[in-house]
Amino acid sequence: MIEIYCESIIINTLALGCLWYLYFFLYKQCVVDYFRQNMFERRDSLFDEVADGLTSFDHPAYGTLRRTMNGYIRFAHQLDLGKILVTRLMASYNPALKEDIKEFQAQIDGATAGLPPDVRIKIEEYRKKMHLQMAKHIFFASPIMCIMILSFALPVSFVFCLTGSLKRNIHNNINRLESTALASGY
Amino acid sequence: MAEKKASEANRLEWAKFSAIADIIGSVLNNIIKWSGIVAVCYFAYQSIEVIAGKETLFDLCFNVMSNTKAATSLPFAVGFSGIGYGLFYRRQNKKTIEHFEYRKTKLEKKSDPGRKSSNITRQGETRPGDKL
Repeated sequence: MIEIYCESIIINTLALGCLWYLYFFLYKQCVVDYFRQNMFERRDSLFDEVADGLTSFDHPAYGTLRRTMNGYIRFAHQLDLGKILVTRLMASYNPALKEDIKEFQAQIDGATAGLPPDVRIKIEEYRKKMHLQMAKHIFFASPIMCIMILSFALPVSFVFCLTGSLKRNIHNNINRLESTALASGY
Repeated sequence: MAEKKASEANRLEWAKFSAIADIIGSVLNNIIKWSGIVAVCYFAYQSIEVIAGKETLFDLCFNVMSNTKAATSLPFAVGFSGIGYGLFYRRQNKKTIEHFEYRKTKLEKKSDPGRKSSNITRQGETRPGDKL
């Protein structure tokens, strides 16, 4: 009887230890590699389009977008929901940073201002793809936390949605992330 | 000129802010990560404590090892083989990335001499200085 009990302890401890290692090390590494690979593909595709004449390599729109992608690639291992929440909380207590949130938007708007409309649309498409990639990464980097927070946040978001501030909130958070990535990509 | 200076100051402020957030986020993540294994060890200890003094540890381990059935060890063998295969394949992937990265960078620099890099390692891994 006691042997069966012991066997169960050993097997369960080993299995839980393996699951812990799989989730916190192998899975996290895999998610970061997957995100980086996708971002590299976007960056290479942008490079190819610019080489084919979309715009010039020294154009600020290309430079800003590439630097932002570089920032995401470099700090992909730190991009998770926990850090975003910490950043959000810290920024709300720093009035100077509140103003800087719109820095990325201002830079990209300034950079694309003189471009033909079709090129501007292309740049915006790349940015949207970048956002989608980032959202997927944030979810897969901390799925348990995301599910926990979403189950709480969805009813709250619904109330926010009714007051019309949800879109503004999401937009501010994306701008904050992009500004951080741009600053990191220099 | 003043605008450029302000932009540079903003960039530095963001980088500083981001570094502080990284440290706090990293501390929280590490607490979550390591508390998992501490919980596993704690429950294992609690379970062992119940049978403490009834048999020696050596006897128990010997009996368990000799009585472990193939039905229990087979899933572990499959699991560990999978992990080993994944790690081996990952290492091969990194070698392939390193092999092609140099040529790609060289070719891209011909078209864009001011080409900026993401500054990760040539194998596509996080730079040691960026790890927290």
